[in-house]
Amino acid sequence: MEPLLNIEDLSVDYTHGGMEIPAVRQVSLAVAARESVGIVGESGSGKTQVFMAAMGLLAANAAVRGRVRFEGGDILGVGAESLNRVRGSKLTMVFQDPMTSLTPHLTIGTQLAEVLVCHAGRSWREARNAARHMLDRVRVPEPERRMSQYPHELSGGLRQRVMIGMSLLCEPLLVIADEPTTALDVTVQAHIIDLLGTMRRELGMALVLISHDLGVVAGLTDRILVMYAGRIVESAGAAELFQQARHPYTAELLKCIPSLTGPRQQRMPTLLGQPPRPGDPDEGCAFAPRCARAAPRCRTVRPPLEDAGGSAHRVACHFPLPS
Amino acid sequence: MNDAVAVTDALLRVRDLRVEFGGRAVLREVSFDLFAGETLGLVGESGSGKSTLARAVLRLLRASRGSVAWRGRDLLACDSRTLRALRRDLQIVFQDPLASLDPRMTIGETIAEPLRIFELALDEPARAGRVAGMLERVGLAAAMAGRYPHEFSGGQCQRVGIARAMILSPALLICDEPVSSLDASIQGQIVNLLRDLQADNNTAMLFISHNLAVVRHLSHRILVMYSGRLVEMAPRDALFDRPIHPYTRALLAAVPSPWAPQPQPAATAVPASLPSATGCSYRERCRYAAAICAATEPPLEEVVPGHFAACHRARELMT
Repeated sequence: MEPLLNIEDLSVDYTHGGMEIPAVRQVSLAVAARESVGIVGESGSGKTQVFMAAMGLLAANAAVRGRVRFEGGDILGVGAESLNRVRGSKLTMVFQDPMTSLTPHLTIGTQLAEVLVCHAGRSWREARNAARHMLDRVRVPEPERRMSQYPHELSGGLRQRVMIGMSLLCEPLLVIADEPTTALDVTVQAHIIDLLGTMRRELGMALVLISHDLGVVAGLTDRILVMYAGRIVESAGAAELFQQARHPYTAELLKCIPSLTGPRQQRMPTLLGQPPRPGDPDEGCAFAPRCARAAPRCRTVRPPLEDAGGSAHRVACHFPLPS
Repeated sequence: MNDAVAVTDALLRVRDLRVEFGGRAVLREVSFDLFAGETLGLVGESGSGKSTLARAVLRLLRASRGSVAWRGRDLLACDSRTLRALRRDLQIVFQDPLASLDPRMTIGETIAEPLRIFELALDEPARAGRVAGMLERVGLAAAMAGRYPHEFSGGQCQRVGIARAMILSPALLICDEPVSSLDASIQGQIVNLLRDLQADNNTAMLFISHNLAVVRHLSHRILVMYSGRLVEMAPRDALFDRPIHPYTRALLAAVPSPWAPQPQPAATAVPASLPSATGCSYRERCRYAAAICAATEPPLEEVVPGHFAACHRARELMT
């Protein structure tokens, strides 16, 4: 059976000042119904670009190639009209900054209700009732009063609850959450993680969680994909990835996370060097210049994403760490 | 930090510092000492007053009450000429590395600017020499001096910001979320650099961050702020291993880790819109709140030697 979301061989290039700048390179991934997948990687790794491309949300100077299917139908390059049959209803997105992704001059109630009016053809009256019910469901206190408030009157945490509520109004099959807690305080973050987990269990939707924070992803996802320089370099079950990372980049990234408990090291572990910059030559493994295990072959031959043994563990490395 | 240092040796003594915006107190009666070579971590959520405290200490904004004694002189009371002279020793690194650099100046000009202001005797070649040395000290090539900020990555821009702050070898460096906008693999590079530079000059450091693990790594003592007040102050290990204040406990419990991925949202209720005017400002989120917490605001008290907390139930909670 075809997965709910199927991305095949997706590439994104930007044209800027006469230069072709690659952002995503031949990424293939699938998300099954009800599955929860984490996408991790540092800024510039392309993790957001993959899903912005899939949702048809990239700027005009982005060239997207590949194939994206949702519920068996192509959604890449089909035009806004057909895309909007799924986008915003069956396939929704929650963004990082809940302030800039809500409209400042419309009340919370109007913005939420509008989703149902536009996508589900409900009357405003029905839509407002459903919106109020949803605010209650995502545990926004005093939903009645919030309905008539504007985004700036709400705290960051409450705004993100509203965004999550909005993404759930049409009972989506897949919610893509892009750094949904990055702008929030850690205590508020814990509530939002808890809310996302609860809603997923209750509504049975699939979730893609994009984050640079491996801790956040660990708590919410079954499977994790690690991206580096526009490509997927490792893919594994969440627990397996944290116990037995096979790609040197993943392993180094995990080492860089300082701990709240246990012995403190004199120096913080670091990854030497910088990720490649857009426009750098795209040869061999992009991580090779920063990799302690790199051999000459790594600089010339790109390692494909291959089975690494274990349950659905895949890694793109000529010399993966032993399992 | 040497625990035997006498209190009078504090480089910086902040007492009862209060800041009001439009009649509303955003910083209330904050007091602490900072010693040479010491790193004081300052944690708390957004809006708790961390950056306000940093700016009030440097007199980048006006405090309405209190004192900030720098080597015995009150920065808040001195005239602007004296303040300007003293500021040579007081430097700050900001969160957004690119926004805090002037886009029209080369990074060499940016790093040289403090020298231009404070070391008037220096001629151009000598200044260029100092800038080149500093660039290399922060891990950038001296040849990069002629480039502009937009040519650098976030981590590199933060190195430039640090070079500008450290070129006069200040006695105090305030870092306001210096690694928050950087990727995990780059954070450690910057933290290690700050530590090395601190060791060069025995610099005192006030390190503001919402990243508790980074604060733990770097700090000797930690201050925890909530709603404009210090609610806990303790040596690093005491704070992380035996936190007292319910807010500190909730904060530590909320940090997710890949190896213990279940943060505990139950430890805190959803925050109320505004803290109430009387009593403890944390009480509406506090699972331990009692009647007394609504009646009076708990003072910051030394619960065990060196470990201060502002909680009516501190002693009970420790058992």
